[in-house]
Amino acid sequence: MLRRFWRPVTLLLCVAGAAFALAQGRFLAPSAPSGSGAAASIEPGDAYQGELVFVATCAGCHGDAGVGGGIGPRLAGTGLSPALIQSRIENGAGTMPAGLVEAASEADVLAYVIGITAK
Amino acid sequence: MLPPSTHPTEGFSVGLLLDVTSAYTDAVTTVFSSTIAFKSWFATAAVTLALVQVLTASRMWGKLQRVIPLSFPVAKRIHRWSGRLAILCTLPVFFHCVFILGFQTPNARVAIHSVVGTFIYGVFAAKMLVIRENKMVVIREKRYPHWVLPVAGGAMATMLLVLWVTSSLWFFTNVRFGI
Repeated sequence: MLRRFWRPVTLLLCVAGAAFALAQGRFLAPSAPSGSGAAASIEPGDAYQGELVFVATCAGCHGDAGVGGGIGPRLAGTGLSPALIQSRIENGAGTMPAGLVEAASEADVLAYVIGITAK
Repeated sequence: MLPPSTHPTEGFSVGLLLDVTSAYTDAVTTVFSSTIAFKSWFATAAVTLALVQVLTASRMWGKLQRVIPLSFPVAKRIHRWSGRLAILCTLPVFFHCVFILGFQTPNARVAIHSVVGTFIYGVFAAKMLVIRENKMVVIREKRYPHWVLPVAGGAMATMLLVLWVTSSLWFFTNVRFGI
């Protein structure tokens, strides 16, 4: 009776294998742009993880995707340098306090913000 | 920024990929606050439709007749259309998960999500093959055992639920509940 199952099981494994191979490729994964200005002293991390932190921590002031609307300035498309972004994340500025983003997430947030600020 | 390419075709393909990504992001963020919120809500729609699938399938197999007062043909029609819609809802999620996020294992939640996500379309394809082959076989004894479809459908619904719990539910409870 088990012989009857070879076709669906083979199909299942082939499709799963194809999905795994595509997922390993991450063909459209965003890589953090280096920016046109001064480089950051840390290597930008995972922009996706950074987006999660940004949504929870930063979007309240800077708006969704950094488009502004809150008390923080607009970030999207402003072309800020990676070094300046890193400095703001670490030290804050104006009403933005330092240390909003945990050190473990800094590289990820940096990668995401570099992405949205790119012109 | 991607490293500068040295070959014209490489530059073209990289540019095309970037265009696809930015078009996708632009389209999504016209309605949703982020691509992740979009993914979470589409996964929620898919899992809701999967619940409809389970209920209508139960009715088609003679269960829950008092709870779901639908005739067999109506339940069957709803089952088919909810299944089609559920799969449609998973396609953009699949696109985002596979092409942008990829297979990752940084922690248990993401690892479980990645592994289950890898297999879900395989289970779906296998289930569709069983349905198709059952229809083509006239002799009842040569069909798949009657328990195969409920098991395959139940597995799919369970996998969708696991995927939803490890992504959307986590996003809604840990990051943000809203579009």
